[in-house]
Amino acid sequence: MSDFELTLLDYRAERFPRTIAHRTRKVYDRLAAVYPVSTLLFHSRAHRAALRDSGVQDGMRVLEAATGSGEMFRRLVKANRNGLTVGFDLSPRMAARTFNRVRRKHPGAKTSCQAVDARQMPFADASFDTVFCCYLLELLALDDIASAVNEFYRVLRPGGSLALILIGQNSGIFNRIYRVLGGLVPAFWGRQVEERVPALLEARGFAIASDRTVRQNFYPSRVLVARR
Amino acid sequence: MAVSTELLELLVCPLCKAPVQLKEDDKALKCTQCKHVYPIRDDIPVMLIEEARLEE
Repeated sequence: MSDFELTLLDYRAERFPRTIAHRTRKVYDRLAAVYPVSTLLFHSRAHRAALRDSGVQDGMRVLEAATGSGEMFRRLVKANRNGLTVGFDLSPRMAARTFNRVRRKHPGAKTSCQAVDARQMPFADASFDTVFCCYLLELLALDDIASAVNEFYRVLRPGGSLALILIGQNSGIFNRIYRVLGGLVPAFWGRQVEERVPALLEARGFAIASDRTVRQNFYPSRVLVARR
Repeated sequence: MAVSTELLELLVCPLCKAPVQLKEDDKALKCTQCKHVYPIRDDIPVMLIEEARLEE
């Protein structure tokens, strides 16, 4: 049994739910119009940090998993004007909104948005130099996190970077609020998984290159960059 | 165009990971192996297995 499978067994023993993907798509399809507000208030600083730490350079092939309303995706397209920037979201409506906005703002850029399930990505092995994924893993149950991490590894070229942003858990009050909201509507709020993710990445064969926490309006984000 | 040549080189079937081809009307992508067809709606390739249909 591999390290990756052993790590998963440990987490399974703690009874994480195995999958909630069917609910997540429904919730985000409904939230497509209002989601940008929370991104502006809580996520933009972490987005900038991930962009810096990832080492993205113009001309690369870049993928963003779970683009949501596209704030990070627009940053990536701007930083990679001469490269190819591909984004996807499980919600076709979110993907369409993001694509329309980016096309208006950066008409000459090589870019595409798709509706994709992070567990089953439609990209050939070693397709991308960098993969970004912001605030997704919290929404996935254990088997789905494992599938997504496997897919990140597969679609990255050897030496390529995975830039992850996770919801941090470094303040007692924030954690309590989050736990209550997560219990009410888990498909939207997700669960805080950041403490588990680095070990899972390493078990899969990634090496952690940088790891820091960024705060914005009391909202902590953990910015992790791992190399394949 | 929703799917450029460069992107088409990277795209595979999410189910069997074989290459996909753009259909003649540019409105769908078809897997060259398992024959699943993925629709392109509003320039968005919908590469979700539950939205695909089988076509010989």
